[in-house]
Amino acid sequence: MIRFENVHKYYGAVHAVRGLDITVRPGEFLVLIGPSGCGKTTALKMVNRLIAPTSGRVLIDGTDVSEMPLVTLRRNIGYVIQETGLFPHMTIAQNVALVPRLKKWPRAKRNERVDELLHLVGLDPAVYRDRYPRHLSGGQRQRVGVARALAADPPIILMDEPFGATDPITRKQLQRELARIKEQVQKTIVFVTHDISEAFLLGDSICLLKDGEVVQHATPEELLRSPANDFVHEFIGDEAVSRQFDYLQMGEICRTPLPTFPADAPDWQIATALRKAGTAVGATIDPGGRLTGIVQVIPHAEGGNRTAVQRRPREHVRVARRDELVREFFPGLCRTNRAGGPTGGAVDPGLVVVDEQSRPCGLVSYDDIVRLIAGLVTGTAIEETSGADPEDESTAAFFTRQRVKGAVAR
Amino acid sequence: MTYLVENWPEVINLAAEHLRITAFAMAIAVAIGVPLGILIARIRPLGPVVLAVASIFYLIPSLALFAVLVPVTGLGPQPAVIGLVLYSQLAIVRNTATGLLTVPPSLRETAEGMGMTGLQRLFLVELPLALPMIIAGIRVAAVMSIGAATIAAYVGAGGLGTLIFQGMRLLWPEMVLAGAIPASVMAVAVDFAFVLLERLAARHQRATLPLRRRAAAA
Amino acid sequence: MTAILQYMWDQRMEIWWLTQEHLAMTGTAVGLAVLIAIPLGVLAARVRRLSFLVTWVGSIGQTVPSLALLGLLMPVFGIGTPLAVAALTVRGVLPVLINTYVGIAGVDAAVTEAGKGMGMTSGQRLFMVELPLAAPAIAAGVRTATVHCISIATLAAFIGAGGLGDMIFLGINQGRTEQILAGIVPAAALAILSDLLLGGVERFVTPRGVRA
Repeated sequence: MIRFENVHKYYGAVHAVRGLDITVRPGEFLVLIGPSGCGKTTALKMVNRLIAPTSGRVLIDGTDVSEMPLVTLRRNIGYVIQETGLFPHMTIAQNVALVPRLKKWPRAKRNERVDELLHLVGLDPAVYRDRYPRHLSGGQRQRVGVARALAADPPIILMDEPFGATDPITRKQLQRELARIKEQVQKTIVFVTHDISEAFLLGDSICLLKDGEVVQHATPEELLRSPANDFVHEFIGDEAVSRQFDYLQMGEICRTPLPTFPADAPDWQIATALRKAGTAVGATIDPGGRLTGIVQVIPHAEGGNRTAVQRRPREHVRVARRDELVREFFPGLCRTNRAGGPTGGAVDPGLVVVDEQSRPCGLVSYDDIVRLIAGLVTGTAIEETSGADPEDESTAAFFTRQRVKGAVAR
Repeated sequence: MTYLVENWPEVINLAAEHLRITAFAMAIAVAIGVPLGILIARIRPLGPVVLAVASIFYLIPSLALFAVLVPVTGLGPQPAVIGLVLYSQLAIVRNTATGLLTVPPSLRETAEGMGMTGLQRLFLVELPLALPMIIAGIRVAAVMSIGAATIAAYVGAGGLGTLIFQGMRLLWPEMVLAGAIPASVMAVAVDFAFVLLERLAARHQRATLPLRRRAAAA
Repeated sequence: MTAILQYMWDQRMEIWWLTQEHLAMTGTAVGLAVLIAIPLGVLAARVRRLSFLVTWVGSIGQTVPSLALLGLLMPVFGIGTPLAVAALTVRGVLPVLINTYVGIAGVDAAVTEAGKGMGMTSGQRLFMVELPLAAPAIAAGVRTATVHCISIATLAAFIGAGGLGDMIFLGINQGRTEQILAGIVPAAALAILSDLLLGGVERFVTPRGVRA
């Protein structure tokens, strides 16, 4: 666990970091993000003491880092920087094995570890072990940088804009790889970036900084749902993400299946069917298949064990046609609230997407939005949905498949 | 220091002689070295050959270089001047060629695109841009030549070296210093003057120069 | 031509002896220079205030004429081998010092930061990263120093320290061309050979990963 306690940093008269209070839980992936000069890199470098705070403390597992022996501290923290900082006179294997070597691991164990890590970052050890950094492309070098940081299995990894200098395609690849590696290694990671889509893809929590202060520290979902102020909203809704919405239609992003019922179906029937489908929201339709309203299961209504079914007529449901553009709904979607909503009490189910004949196709929930943004930055969301045609399959099966894929992408 | 104080007119005379020989040699060295540099920048395969010959002259100890000329020219300022010219070639030729070769290709293309002839390109674009580096080469050559010229005193060229050799022969440190100190001051002053000249020539191209230095180093 | 070769053959023992003297003088001086200059260069690269000193003293020191240097040191060391070795050492220190400093200070800042961030001690960074990367520059400095010292060592004869300069000075004094050449040819050969040899060393110490 890493804790920043009221950390300040002055550079002469410049107050670069102003009273930082952040906690990073073990195994958490924290993204520090903000415009340049916001103090994010300064904060990161305070963890491995490349920079000392002017006042305040940085704690790792309760111990002030300034009281730990410098070398031990740093050897137990992996460090990845934008310029990679690979040692040009050492082979890839020597670079990766450096910290284990400093820690005096036996040679055989080091070699084994090098192979294991090169595999992990997607480089074939047989090919790359004995090459030198200058033989590698920028993306490959950054992979080696990540492998080197992981080498001695440190519990904490610091990454300072690691993909900032790579081209967009390589960057997306590296981000996807890191998301995978993150699942495999379970480290506490602090990651600095100025790329919001990267933050959404990778972060368990995102800490948005401005002028040395925390503007908002929250999960990606919270950040989307309830931005603390206009700065956050603007930063998130920033071109990087919203530009990608331009041509995306609502029908392409709805991922949550929406079982349908005749408008006169009894509550118990609806409740049973929804439970079987594993979802809490359904739609009611008229004999022509057109949307008349939605039904929602409310568990433990009135504090008891009973499950109630709440019905909302179409007038109280937000509806979008599937060929409408996501862009036009985006601000509203981001503000979708879990509690509250038009009718109060129940969870806001999100937005129902209907076809040209007003027949329901599915639901867009805030989970879908988060997944969408994450997917967009990796380029997966569009690939997955564009080829499929819902007319060919039963609606529920289609959405189930999409949802599973979506989950993988996230 | 007493020798210096008592014999200052003699020291000044010798210093003037020293400067004259060096300046004369540098004028000839530039007249040969810069065109040679242009030549090897244009005809690339000549480069290694010309530079190899120039570095041999540079590597031969200067005393040896002067001495080898004595049987041909006799004692006097001639072996000194010829020796200094040969000795200076490496720095001047190499810097001229490097200066020309590191002119940004975009500028060369622009000049071509404007319809400049080869000579116009050379005099209007390439040489002005290479000037700071050429001056840097002349600076190195000039400083080395002032040093080598002290040694040339032994082959009868005169200059401040006369006092140093004479003083050493007589085991008279005062006299040695009367030659050594002015010679050192002269070298440092000339170096400094050329630094200023180099800056003056580079004042219009601050932006590209560091890049080109790096390119030249690599 | 045959007269010259004949003379050199006759004097081969003398030439061999003077060459040894020449090499001993140069070798001692370059050795001392390296021992002094590398630690100083490392220090200058580490302590920022010193770096200013090194670049200034270095660039001024290198402009002082070699003969003048001999003269300037004469009041301290008197006449003879100590003066020659002292002057050669001073000459040799500067290129090695400046190149060591530039070599280390020129190591990519990202590489240095990565080393720090990985928890390398100052000594580990120096020996595992900075010196290997600066090695080609240091070797180039040693090469320059050696060639200069061989050249200046010819002057040592004048102050009674011997070396191949003996032949040259005597030859000039007596107007004997073959004697002049008997000193020049081995001196020039020494300079050119050591330049080639140390050029090879320079390539050899360049880490494979940074070779062009």
